[in-house]
Amino acid sequence: MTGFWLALLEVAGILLVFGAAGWLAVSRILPSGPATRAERVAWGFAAGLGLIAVSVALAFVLGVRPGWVLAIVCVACVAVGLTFRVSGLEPEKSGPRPGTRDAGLGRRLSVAGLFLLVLAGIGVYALRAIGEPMWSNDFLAIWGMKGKLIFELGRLPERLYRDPALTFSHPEYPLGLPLLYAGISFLLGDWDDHAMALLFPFLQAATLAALWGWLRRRGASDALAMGAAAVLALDAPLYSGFHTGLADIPLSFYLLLLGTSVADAIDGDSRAPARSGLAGFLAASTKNEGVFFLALALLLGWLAPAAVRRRVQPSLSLWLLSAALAAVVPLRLWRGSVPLKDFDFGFLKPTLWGELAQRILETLSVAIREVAWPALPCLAAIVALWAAGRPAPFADRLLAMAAAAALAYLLLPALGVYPSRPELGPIFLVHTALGRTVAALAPLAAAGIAGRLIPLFPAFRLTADS
Amino acid sequence: MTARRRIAQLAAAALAAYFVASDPPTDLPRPIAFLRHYASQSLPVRRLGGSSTDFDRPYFILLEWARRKLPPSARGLAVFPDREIPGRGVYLTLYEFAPLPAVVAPARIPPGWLALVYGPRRPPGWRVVADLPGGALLDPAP
Repeated sequence: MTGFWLALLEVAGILLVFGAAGWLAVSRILPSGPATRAERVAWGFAAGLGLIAVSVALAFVLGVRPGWVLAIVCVACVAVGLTFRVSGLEPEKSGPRPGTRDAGLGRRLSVAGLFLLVLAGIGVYALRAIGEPMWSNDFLAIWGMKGKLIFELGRLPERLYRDPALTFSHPEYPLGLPLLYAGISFLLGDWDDHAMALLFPFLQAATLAALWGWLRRRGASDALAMGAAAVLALDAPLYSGFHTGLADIPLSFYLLLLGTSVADAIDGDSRAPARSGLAGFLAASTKNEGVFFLALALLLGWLAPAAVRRRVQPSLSLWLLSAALAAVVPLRLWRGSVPLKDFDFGFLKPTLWGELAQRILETLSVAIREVAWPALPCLAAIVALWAAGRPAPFADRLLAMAAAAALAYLLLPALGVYPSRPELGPIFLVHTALGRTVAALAPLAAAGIAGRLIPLFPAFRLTADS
Repeated sequence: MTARRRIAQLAAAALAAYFVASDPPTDLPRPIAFLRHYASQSLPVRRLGGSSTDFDRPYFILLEWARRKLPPSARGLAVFPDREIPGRGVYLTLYEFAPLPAVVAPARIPPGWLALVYGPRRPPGWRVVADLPGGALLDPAP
């Protein structure tokens, strides 16, 4: 076996081992009930990625070089702490199970066909992701650069935010993904930006598992849940070679987990607030807008019906605020305040509102002409799917979250200023970021849209496992 | 209800078709051929064969040679290409040499740094540390 294939296997092993460790660490807050095994695996994987990144940061704080020793200690702590509790992966023994037992052959075949589409989507993306060493500009300039510096130096270098030669690498961004890259490299013993690309198909598969599991738990038929996963698996604007190595695919996974867990929390799942905190921490540690999504999640909690709010809000708020603090404060203490590089919030001053209005119009016109218009068939299909569904508060909450974020992504370029070329105006962010950032909302939107379709494609509830 | 189901199914099929059409898998033979050809090669060779170096592969060959020839005492590297290097070439340069600080075409070379010149030019007074394919590693210190 050659070096690349061996390294690929090693990365797969690291991700699987830490996925298992993550599952052990958070097994007490994972969704319970029937048809959630895939969802639990996805949550375990997310927690495992968090464990890797946090372990590296913790090792630096303790002055220890990260590596297998720390990993073993970490896994052992989790395992001992939870007294080898493994019930989370056992089949559920009670309660009705959204059934397939009475499904006809035609229905089973259609589900199998959709599953093949899911596999095809994962396979196509996997080939694009690992088809060569990670190559995107933003990987080389930002995420990979920081991860490589952290790994090669064995510490968090102040250069990350002080070196004028590295200003293009956005010192104001969170370090969750670079720490994850560094952690995988410490475990691998080398910086391998080719084998490490395997992380991204794993993230895609975990996203699809979380989507499928959540929809099934919410009462969707196997065909609807698999159909939603199939469409998302084929989402080339998100799962592309260009996005491999960037923070958008991990963020899209964490946002799906955040949205679904907040919806669960509002509907009374006592374990969900803690899950929201975990997903929110991962999102806010990956990209700055993760904090914005935490704020949206808080808002959704506050807007819940009064009876629900009284029951849920304290716990949900506590977890979401803790997540925001845990993601932001350590970084702030380490590097101080670093302004957002591509934005000038001076345009918000009342004296500049005229210019701001002009910039907003310019932004919207370019966004409609160059981003929305070419994607019109896609937008029309999404609107048709939304209109075909039935109002469902749990699903509409996810869509509200996605819509608010899309609106923010649409308007934010109006505040954009390209550092060395202010004459470019606000348009450069529409060209470079709008499509990419909105694409990361796809899993969240898919869950919301499919949730509205559940009354049209309900699961059989005829059987209970015995 | 049936009409809504049918609309949902058609819209989902259209969305999936749009996704596939927006980036058809016609490119898949390329990664397969790449892996078949390069999987047994070292990581720098794989990068050389990939997209990140397609703007100027000889430039990357020079970077890779320089990375291997850099003396441990070098505190940084100033790279002077004799032609326009695109932004991604600049990012690749800095990424390639990380954690060693590197800058492309700086106005001033910090003390203790070496210079990497891409092309035949050899500024007078700069000592040649190593002649490399496509350029040279130089010490600008007097």
